[in-house]
Amino acid sequence: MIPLEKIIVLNKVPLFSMLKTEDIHMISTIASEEAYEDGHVLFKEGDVGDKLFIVVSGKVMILKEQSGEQKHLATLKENDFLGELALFDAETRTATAMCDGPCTFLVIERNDMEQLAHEYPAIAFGFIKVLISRMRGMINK
Amino acid sequence: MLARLLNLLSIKQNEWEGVLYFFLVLLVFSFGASFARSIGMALLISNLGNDKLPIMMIVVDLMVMLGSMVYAHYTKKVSGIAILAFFFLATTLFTVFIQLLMVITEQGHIFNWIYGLFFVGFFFFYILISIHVGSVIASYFTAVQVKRVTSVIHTGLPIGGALGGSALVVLLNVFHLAPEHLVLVLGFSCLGSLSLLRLISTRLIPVRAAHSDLKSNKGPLKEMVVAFKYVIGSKLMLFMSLGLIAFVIGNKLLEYQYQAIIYPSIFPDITQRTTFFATYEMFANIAWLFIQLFLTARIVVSWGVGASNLLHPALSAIVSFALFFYFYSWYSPNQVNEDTMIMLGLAIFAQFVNQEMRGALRTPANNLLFNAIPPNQWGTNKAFLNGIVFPMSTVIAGIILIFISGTNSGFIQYTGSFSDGQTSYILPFIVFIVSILGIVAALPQWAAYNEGVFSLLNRDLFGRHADINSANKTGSNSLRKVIEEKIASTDHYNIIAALEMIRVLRLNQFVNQVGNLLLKTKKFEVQEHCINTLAALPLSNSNITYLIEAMRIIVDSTVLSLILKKLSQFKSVNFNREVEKLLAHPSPEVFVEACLCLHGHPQYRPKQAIEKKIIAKLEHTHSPEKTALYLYALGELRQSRYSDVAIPHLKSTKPNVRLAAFKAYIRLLEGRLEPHKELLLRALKSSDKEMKIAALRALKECHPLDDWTPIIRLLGARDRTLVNESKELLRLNLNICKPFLIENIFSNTASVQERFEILSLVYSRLSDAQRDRLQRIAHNSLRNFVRLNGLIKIHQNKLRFSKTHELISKVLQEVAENHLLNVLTVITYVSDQNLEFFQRVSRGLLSPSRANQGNALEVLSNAGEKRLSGRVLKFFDERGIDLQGINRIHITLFNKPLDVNENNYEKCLLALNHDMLRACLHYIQKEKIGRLKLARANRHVRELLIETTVHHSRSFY
Repeated sequence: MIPLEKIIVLNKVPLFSMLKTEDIHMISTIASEEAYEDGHVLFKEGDVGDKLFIVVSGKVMILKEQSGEQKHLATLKENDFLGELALFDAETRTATAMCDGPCTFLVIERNDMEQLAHEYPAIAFGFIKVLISRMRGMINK
Repeated sequence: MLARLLNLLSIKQNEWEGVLYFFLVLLVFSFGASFARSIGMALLISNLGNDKLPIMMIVVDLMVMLGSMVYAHYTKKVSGIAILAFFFLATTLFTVFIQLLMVITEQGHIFNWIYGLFFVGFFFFYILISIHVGSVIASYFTAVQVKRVTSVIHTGLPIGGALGGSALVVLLNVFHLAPEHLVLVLGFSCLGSLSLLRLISTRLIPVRAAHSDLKSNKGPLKEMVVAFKYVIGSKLMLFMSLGLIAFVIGNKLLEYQYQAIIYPSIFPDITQRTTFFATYEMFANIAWLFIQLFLTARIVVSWGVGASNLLHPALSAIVSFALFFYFYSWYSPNQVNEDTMIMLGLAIFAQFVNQEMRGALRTPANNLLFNAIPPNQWGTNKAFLNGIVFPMSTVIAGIILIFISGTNSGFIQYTGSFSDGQTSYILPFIVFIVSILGIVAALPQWAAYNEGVFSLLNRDLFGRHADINSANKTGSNSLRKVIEEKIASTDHYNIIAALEMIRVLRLNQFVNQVGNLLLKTKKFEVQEHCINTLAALPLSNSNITYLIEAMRIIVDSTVLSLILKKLSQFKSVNFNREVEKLLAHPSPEVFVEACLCLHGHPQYRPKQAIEKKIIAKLEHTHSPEKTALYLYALGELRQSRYSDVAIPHLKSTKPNVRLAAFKAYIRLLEGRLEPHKELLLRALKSSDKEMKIAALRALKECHPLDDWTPIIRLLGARDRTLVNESKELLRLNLNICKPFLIENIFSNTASVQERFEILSLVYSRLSDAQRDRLQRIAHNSLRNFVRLNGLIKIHQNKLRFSKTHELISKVLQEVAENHLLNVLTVITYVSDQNLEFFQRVSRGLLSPSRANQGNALEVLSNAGEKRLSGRVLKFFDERGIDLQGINRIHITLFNKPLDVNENNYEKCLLALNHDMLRACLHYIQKEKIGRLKLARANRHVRELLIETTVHHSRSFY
């Protein structure tokens, strides 16, 4: 994936969409492309999260264990993202994510993101803005 | 035709619908109200006598006071338009009820109180509607729009009044209908307004919501208390209240003068008087209409809101002085016939100022003043002003009237203190005095309005609601008491707050409390603040003893190193034996601080031993963290002979070690850095901002540079400290680097931030020619901003197939914003404003919220620079929604059509010379033909289009 394509994908992710293109460009330098086969488990419920996954192509099933069975909660597709909270804390994953067919992702690791946000506070402010607007949205619901 | 009319009335295409609906609401309501006002007043005076007027005024205002409390409560819960609809509905029901009563009791005059009830009820609703309708209108327009449209919308009142007055004259004199039969007209007009409101709520969206998203649970009384606290704390509201008191007293006394003294003596017959009132309404309202249409908006826009607010008290002073002069000098009861025309003229003039000029000047200016307070405070504050201050002032006016002229209203019987002749000149004299007071109160409102609008432009990123409840809770508590309470608290945030107060104010009397707290507490944050506080207090045995005692008993290495760092400030006290013990401490932090503390102490002799210890530790460690720490210690020794020890570490692969080595190197060579200037300049190219900051600080000690470009480029850095350090260095060498700075202002490559920072250094030193050139640059930037907006509109329908479509939109938006920021930069300096102004206005204008945009435009229009601001204002006011709209704006602003169109769209994109845009265009080509053609692409464009692993080299040495 060329850097411009990474920027295009990141720009479509709500978490980054409020950032300036210059900031998205910076983030694209720490986003790596990863491809997985059908059935690959990205993370399991209870794992400690440290990565954000952005679906570039393919589908991802979100599963949650209920009464010993895996219940299908949702299917994520192109430009959806999962595990965004892992960029801000090291809490455990609340569900399992599994590839439904071959998938390609852009993956951002928390440590890289922290380093970037430390060097470019505008990026951190951009995130805070997005999180606040989400919080307001939740309050108003 | 419509376009011409809108242009004549300064209404923009996008505003006309809202203006029309609200205009109609006011017109229809005013039509009915003019019937009710004339009938109500005439019926009251003829059936109950003019001595009841003061009492009736008091009753009306007491009712309004109670109504306002309930109103204030609901303004925060219910939307403004719903409240207005309720008022209209309630008025309709009230009129139906009164009309029924009047018809039923027509035969006898047993129930005279109905006329009083009608008078009180009508004015009660009329006042509440008048209070509220301004907020509803304001919530549908931005602060700048409302300044233009409010006067046009309010022409509905005089037009409705004139039509109502004419209709009433015809009904009374041609159809010979009795006034008592026409009450229901008000009900019909309210129903008409109600249906218009329904139309508004379905077709328009409010820009500024006056009711809160988060519902208030306060009761009506509590709302009033909150409003009272707000008024007390707000300069604008305080002086608005004082101005209102002056206005109401003057208004009521003047009204009594013409309604109860002058008109009854000229028109003793009730039908004759009602006819006069109706005729007056007709002509006065037409005059009001012309003033409102052609004068009010122009006065408000050209003079500003604050100055316009001075006009009404000034007019009131003039008319009251004329009345006083007339009645005191010329008038005697025997001369009534001779002087009728003069007296009538004065009465009409007084009534016109009191009634129509109030509507044409005072009310619009006063409503606009509310733009300077947060919309969520409008309701409660208006309710407070009109529900508490207004009635209270009416009571004062009523008491004055009763005291002067007396009353015989059944339960109150009092013969006035003055004769009718004396009353006729004493009243205008009092009005004259209060009008002067009104002028005095309007002056601070002027300044407070400008400050208020500015402060409404949120500096905070996420908005902030005024929390007046939490303010000043400590009341009259002394500082000492507050600190004692906080320091004894179990909440460590309170303790830290108390420690900070002690530290900042250097309150030595708390030294024992702080010391004991340090020895007792286990919480690191509290220990840290205690140490900092003790170190900040004036040197005494007590603070040293506490610090040394804490050093003995505390085991935490971080706290220990902090204590050592602070102790090293006290050179006159010998505590070296205690510190020496810590040289063997296992923590490297404690070791380093102990070494530095001893090395820096004048009474400590074996300094070389300390130096050797540090170097030995540095040589034997392999940990990057420890290496960085020992390098820091080495640097703090400030011995140039050890500079060679630091050099090898400058090449380290670890960024923290490189930084520490660089800082140590600078410290070691302090005062002798000139030969090492190249190293410092190379450090400016490092990706590590700390390194750059250290280099900039070191460069201050060197001779001026030959080329200032690297420093000037750092003015555009995103880190504020870096910008400030660069500025500091440039400021120190301003005489030498000024030509470089000026050259960069006019350079095309300078970023907005760079230009802004450079101007902060040299704007005052620019020649007139250079300032003119700057204005031309801003003018071009504004043109580019408008062009880019045109390009964005074209792009919306272009290249939709491409993955890059959204990214191109975003880049175009950002480039356009940069041009706008260039314009705002120049406006900021030309109008002698500061960074805060620039930040607030730019955030406001770029905000997606129209309310914020409006506030920013209002601040911009008050800034003092008219040429550029006026154009920016026009662009945002017109809100071109398509290419044609942008083209129209371009023609208006620059007298020529837009030179971007669908045919030259790609050429225009390329001309922007933006790497990401160019990369997008290459990518689109790849999407079309399946391969990339990068022959003419520059390095940055290639980097965006070729898959590479990016390595950030941080080494500079």
